[in-house]
Amino acid sequence: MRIEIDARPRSLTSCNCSICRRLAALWAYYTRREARLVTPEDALSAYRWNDKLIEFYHCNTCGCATHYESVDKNPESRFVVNARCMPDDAIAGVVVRRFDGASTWKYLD
Amino acid sequence: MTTRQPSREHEGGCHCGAIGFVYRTALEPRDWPIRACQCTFCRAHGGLTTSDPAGSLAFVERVPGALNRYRFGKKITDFLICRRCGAYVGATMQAEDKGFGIVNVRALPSVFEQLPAPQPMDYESEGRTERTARRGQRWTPVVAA
Repeated sequence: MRIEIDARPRSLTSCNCSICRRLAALWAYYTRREARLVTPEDALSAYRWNDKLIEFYHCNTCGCATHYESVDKNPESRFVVNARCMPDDAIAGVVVRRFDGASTWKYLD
Repeated sequence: MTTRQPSREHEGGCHCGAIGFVYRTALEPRDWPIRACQCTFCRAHGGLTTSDPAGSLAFVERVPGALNRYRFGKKITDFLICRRCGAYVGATMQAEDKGFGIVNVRALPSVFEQLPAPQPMDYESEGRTERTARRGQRWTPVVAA
């Protein structure tokens, strides 16, 4: 799986909601203009739940969570990349913020 | 000091419910060993795993075809991933006709907040025999669901 991003993430978000905790994702926020999937989309599976407004993608082979996207796709819509798939030097020193997606829907720092 | 109580059942699984497991252990969650393996797979998945050689573990595939058994590296281990929601729930291996396994505690929300801090682990230098022997001693016996 390969995703191109235009810039290193400024911060990463670790969320404790039921899906993010399981995926252990460190989310880096981009728009579709700033980040794009290079790999053919059929290498990945999409998962929707709850309000079904976003799709979580993972690799069909190894299961790694790659990114999530708004279902409604336009150049300014969200394309949020899992930094655990990025090389170490891309995220070295980048601050990780904890988001309480499980209850208060606020950052904990 | 490790506390041994009567064995308790902990139910966990993936996000969409297609893959579940029952982990039985007498260890209190605060005493569970939590391992953060530093291999490429575990780092990409943020895997945090536990096991108890005195306990038992049963995985169940509730939606036929949902269980992806992914192998890499030495190819002696099945990493169990849900094809629908992508969650990594645990791993199993066979050694001398016996099954052993671990669970990813990220798939165990009922106890997650009570668990101790994870210990980083590096098994890169292990050979196949050494790895199998370690897991035989440390991993949880797998039983039928």
